[in-house]
Amino acid sequence: MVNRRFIITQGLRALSLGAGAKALLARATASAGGNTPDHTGLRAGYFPNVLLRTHEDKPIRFYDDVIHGNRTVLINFMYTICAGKCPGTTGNLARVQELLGDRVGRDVFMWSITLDPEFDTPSILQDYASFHKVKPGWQFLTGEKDDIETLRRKLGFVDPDARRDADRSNHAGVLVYGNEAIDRWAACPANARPENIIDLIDWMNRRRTPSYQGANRPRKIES
Amino acid sequence: MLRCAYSGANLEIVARGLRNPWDITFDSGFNWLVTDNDQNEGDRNFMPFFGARFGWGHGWSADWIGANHPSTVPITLGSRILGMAALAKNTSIASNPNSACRFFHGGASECGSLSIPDVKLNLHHFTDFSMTDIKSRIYRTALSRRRLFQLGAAGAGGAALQILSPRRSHAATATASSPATTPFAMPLPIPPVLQPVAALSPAVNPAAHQLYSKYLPKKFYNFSVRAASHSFHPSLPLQTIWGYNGITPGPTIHARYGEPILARFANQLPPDHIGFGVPQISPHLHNLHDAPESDGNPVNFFDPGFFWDNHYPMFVPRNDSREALGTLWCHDHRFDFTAQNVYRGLAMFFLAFDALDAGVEVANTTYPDALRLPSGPYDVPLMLADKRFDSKGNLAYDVFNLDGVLGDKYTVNGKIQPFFKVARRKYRFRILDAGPSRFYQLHLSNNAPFVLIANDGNLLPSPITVPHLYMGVAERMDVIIDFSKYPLGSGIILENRLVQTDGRGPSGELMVPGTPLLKFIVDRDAADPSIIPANLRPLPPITLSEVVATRRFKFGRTNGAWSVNNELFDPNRVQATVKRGTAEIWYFENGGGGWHHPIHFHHEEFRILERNGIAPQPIEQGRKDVVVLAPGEVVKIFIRFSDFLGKYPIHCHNTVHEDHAMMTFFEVVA
Repeated sequence: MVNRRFIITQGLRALSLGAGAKALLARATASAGGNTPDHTGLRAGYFPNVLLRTHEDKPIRFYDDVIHGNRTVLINFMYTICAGKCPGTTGNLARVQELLGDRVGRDVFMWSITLDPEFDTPSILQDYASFHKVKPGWQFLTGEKDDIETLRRKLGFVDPDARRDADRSNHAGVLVYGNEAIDRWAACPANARPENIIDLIDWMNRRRTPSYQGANRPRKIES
Repeated sequence: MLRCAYSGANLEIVARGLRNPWDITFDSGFNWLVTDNDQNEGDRNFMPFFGARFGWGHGWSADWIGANHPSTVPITLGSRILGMAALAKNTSIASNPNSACRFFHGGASECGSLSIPDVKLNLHHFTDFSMTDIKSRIYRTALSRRRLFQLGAAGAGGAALQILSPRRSHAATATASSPATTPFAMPLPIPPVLQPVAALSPAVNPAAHQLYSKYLPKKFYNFSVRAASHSFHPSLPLQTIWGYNGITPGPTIHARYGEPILARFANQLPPDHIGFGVPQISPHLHNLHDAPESDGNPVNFFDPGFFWDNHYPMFVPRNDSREALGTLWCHDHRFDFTAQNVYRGLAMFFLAFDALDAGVEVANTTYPDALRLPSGPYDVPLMLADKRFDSKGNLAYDVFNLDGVLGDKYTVNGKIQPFFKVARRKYRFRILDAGPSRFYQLHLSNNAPFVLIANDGNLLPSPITVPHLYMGVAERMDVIIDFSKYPLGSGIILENRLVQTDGRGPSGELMVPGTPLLKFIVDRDAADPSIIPANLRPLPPITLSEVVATRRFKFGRTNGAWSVNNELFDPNRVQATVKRGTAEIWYFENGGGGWHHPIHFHHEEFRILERNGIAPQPIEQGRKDVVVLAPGEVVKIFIRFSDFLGKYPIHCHNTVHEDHAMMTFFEVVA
């Protein structure tokens, strides 16, 4: 005679939600007021205010501390252990930080979120950050697996194919950059040349104009 | 591998012992082939059969040969794919010149083509497609009808495909549906034809433009690029759009070869704009033969408070009138924000006329060789753009969607599902897919065919009657519809029958009836002196002896970022330096992964020599400037480079892909 409880638990396991459905659920509950933001800004209703920990083991809230404000944020996803081909994005972003100098932590903030929160604890992230000579203004984040899944989807680091989406290496190559105050958001390859990445964020903020190709130039409209 | 009856009953194991089977295909006898990823050994191909065991044990073991993993199949390599599997670690498989298959790198990025006797198929990710989609792909490689039937019959009866039901992950940022709107609630707007101005002040700087003195402008246009109010539908609130001269679509330019144009674009967008879109612009006229500094280069964008002059010299390249263009469109091209800016409304038509495509219905002394196509009010541009609105009815754009943005409200010339009152005579419609990402298959609701006269604005040698129009972003199709056979009061709907719910591309499924886009209402008689001539515009010859180089551009994806030939976009780098006055052969290859890419480059039109190794279908034998590549497809094209020097982009025209950044540059040098 088959154990009825066994059938039920096996049956429930078979019904367990896939990553996509879980993430949708997570997003639904998060935006239903799970973590009310201290600040209200243009993206307060979009990003959940989940609790994360930095590589210095400090607690932060995602919306309040990462997104909210009038400053440029660079966000990417990474993992400390890669088997086989490593994307190398942290090294590239370290060069971006070097070139930006003390702007990082002042008007530009860099955030790298781990795709492997079960392994990448704050102390492992601290070692990883030290290894890459990460300076202040750039923080590595870890947290609950489901929360990170939700953030990943909210930021657009997804592949529509379920199989490819489950392979975290497919989320390690993109950098989202933006500024909540003007609600301006775009993305570029995280391994793009560091000078190009800085061009993109400076152009977005109209801090600099591009070097024009050819002899044609924009001219000022006289009123 | 499992199989079951159509209802799901009678589940049984067919074959086992694969490590990571991830793709399948079928040959002409409906035998199935499977690829199995073998971690570090690469991939192998199998032809499974009932009872086969391929050697990988249960549980995760690193080593899969040996007594724990007995197989039931011997190993045979050779020039044909037999019902055998190669089991041993045999790296010579990949390098065996007799092997009929190329091996695929595991997982995400590359698919090769699998040569099967009699049939050449590209290996797509069939696990994601329905039988309809498989059939449509096979059809594109010109498989005979008999084989199609064989495949169809086998598919319907066999349960194999039931195992492989489409697996789609939930949309990353599942967007809510727009509020309901009634279709056919307002008439189709026809964008006004822009009148040129007498002069521009301040004057143009001639030194800024190559070949300026050779092609002195005869017409001047002044554009104010600004925000304005727009009604998409009476039941939605007015929206702020960005438009050339404050309207979307912007006004149409009627241009003529031999009448060079200077168009000035003043950026009067709000500098403190908040929300999607960036108030920096770079207007690109797709796809005029012009200099890079007038071409809307993605990094030549400028701020509010500034203006920029584009010189449109209106001459045919290589002095060959067979190279004349027709239906063009001008849209914003600001790097990384193209999708957002075009979505906000920065798009308009630019129509080029010449001695043949003269814009008159009756030949006269000025245009004795006129083709007499439907003209004037009977020559109507149709800009298709799908949008989405939030619960309050405000235009919404998901900036965090990096795959492809799909709207659920279908606009034509800026209105959601309008109607158009037509006379009982012929019309020329210039249809444009303005994106951001959607593919269309357009049908008429009564299944009447279209008479196709131009592809990407280039007149074909002769009209072609087609049952439907398959369009990717930025493609243009000019068609003639003759309403004279319909009685007054008839309503015929232009509809989209292509199902697409995934930003990557359509599923291949069709829905009937389709989504209505535009309703033609036949409401009057009118004289019709226009004709559909038997011959339109002859094609310039393809002279392969002019070819000095062959290049390959492979569009792929690295860790989620777009790449061309495995390189990420760098505005300071060019991937191809080409010589002015020469021709080249380029291969464009879609690296696979389920992504459909409409590939485009600026400055010149091209000819498709081969699509997947086969001569192109008649509708794409003419000159084009956008070519849609389904996953794994390869096209071979012929291009000539003339006149201007400098850098031009090559990019995917799914506007979401070109931002972030499926793009590279080529440079024309002397």
